[in-house]
Amino acid sequence: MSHKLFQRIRWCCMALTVAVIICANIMALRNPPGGSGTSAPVFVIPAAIVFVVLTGRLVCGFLCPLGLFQDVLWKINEILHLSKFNRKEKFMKLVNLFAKILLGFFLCGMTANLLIFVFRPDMMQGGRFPVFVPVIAGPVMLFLNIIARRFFCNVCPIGSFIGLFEKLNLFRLKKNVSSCSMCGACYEACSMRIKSIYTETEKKDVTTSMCIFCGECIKKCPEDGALSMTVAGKEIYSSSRNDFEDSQVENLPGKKEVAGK
Amino acid sequence: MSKANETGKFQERYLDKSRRIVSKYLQELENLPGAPEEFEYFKGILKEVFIENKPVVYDENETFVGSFCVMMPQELVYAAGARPLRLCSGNYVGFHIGDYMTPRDVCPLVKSVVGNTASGINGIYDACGMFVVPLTCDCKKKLAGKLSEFKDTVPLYVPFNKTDDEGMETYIQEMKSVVEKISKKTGVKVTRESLAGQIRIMAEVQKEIRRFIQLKDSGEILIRGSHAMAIMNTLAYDHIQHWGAHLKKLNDELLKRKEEDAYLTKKKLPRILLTGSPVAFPNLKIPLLIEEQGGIIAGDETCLGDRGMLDPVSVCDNSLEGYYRALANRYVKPCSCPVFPDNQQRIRRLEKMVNEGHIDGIIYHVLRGCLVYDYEYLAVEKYFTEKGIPVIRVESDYNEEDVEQLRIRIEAFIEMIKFRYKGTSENRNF
Repeated sequence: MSHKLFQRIRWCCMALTVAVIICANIMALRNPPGGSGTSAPVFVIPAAIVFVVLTGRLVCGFLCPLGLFQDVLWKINEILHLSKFNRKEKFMKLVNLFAKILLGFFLCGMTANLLIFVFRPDMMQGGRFPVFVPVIAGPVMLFLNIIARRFFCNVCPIGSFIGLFEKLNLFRLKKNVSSCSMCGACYEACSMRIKSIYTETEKKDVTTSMCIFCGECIKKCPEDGALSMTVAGKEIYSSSRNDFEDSQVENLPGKKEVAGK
Repeated sequence: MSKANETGKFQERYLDKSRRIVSKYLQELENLPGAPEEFEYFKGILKEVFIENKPVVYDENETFVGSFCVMMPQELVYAAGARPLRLCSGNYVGFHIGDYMTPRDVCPLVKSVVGNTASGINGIYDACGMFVVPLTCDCKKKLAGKLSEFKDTVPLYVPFNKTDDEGMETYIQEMKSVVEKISKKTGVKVTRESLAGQIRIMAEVQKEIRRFIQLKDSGEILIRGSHAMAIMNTLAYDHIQHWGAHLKKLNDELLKRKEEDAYLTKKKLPRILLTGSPVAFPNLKIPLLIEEQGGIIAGDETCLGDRGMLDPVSVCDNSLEGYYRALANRYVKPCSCPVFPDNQQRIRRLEKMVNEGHIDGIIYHVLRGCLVYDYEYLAVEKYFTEKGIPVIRVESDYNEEDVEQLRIRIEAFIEMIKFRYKGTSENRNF
């Protein structure tokens, strides 16, 4: 699979999910479901299990509508050449800690909801979400996402939750250590700032619970087959020097010059 | 006799001797059969630089910036409106002058650079408006101090630990300040567009370099390693675009040879991987000896040779800052220079080259006093001996006195490789 094809599939998948969600909402508005809507968990829970176990955080890179929103914001940044925020190692340590705290809140909330749902269904009222949270967090996140690619994914509690089951996923990121030149391009490209993908020198499997399978690292890897993505052990997408050279020249701005005078 | 007259005489003698040595090695390159036609161009550059004693000038108003090592990105120098010259020298005469100005155990390359600069009669050194010295090994660090006695010299910090992000950040900041200094000299500011243009040109040239290495190292012999090393050496003195255009022609010629089945020899020769200290023109005695003794250099892991140019710049972010980061990553992280404390990646790279180039033996070149390469020899030897690839360490200096001794050792090594596979089931009958 070429870099272009992979990225196209990714964008199409994300666009499709957004379309499906919009359609579903319109349909729901037109014919409001009868009953109390308590049947939702019957579909949601198995679907969630399938996604969490089989695809893992591939959902973040391929399906998440918020992911699409962030990617669009980043495209705007790239087109307008706005300044970019460099997420340093120390900063990422804080961000990861914050993500863990958010995950903790998320898990507590979910458990509480589940308990209420099971034991006191009559108390299932529309949640009273504190308004100040989106009012403050929204603009901050919007700003951070414009200057740093996929910043929300770094702290997303749902993403971190799915990441907990990383070991079960069928999708894996593999590294061929012997062809890796350790140029650090993957680390530079990674919007989740996963360093181990660059420093790993022994293990073949470099999937981490943070990885959202956006494919940027494979796209920027200049070595043949050094990084690849596999599904159940079968390789679907891997780095290649020829592809790299083409995309590299294409991505650089300005008019095309031929080497040599 | 007046003093000026005396220096004049000294200079003449210096140049005479230097030219004699350069002519000798150029002659040896010529005597080696099988040079492609396009090799004339690259030989012309060496002639212009070492015999005419002046840099190759394409534009009268060019400012030259002399740099050392791979850690000073050439793209930045071009983008700042200057022409980079890589000054790591192999000049024997410069070495003898530098010998008086440096401690005994300093490596000959640095002695030669000091000698060339101090004597003030070396064309390419005099043409430079400034020097940029990346602080890599100990000798280069002190070189930065020594050179500042003669010319405007800017040291460039290089992180000691490649995986340390903070070090890389410092390196990027230092790179920017060096570029600012070059810009001050030339009056050209580095912009996003100009740097992108240079990165693209380098990417195009790198494509050709990769093609060249693939043609040269895989399978049958299309070009001799000594010629290839001389060609890679000329990049240090030529303008990247001109050089790239001629390398393209050379590649086309090699491809034609391949298609016509016009290989240099049908015989199987012991395939040698040359690694270790830099091999700078005219100090080509080791590659020449290897090929004279019936070996073929099928892999070149020296920093003035293939290694320095193989890795491409991977741009992740199209902004000026992003370009700086991409350049910093490319010129430090994949670099297998032994100045970095943990250098397992060098062994991995060597192993890859051994597998891809079907290497029969490794010749590990150590310049006398080049401590870091010498240090790593043990690890390399241990690793490859276990894999069944013979490794030999050859130490040399910048003079012609050790040639005979080197010849005996290299001859014995190549004979040993030939003998090793005699009568074995492996298809390696030399």
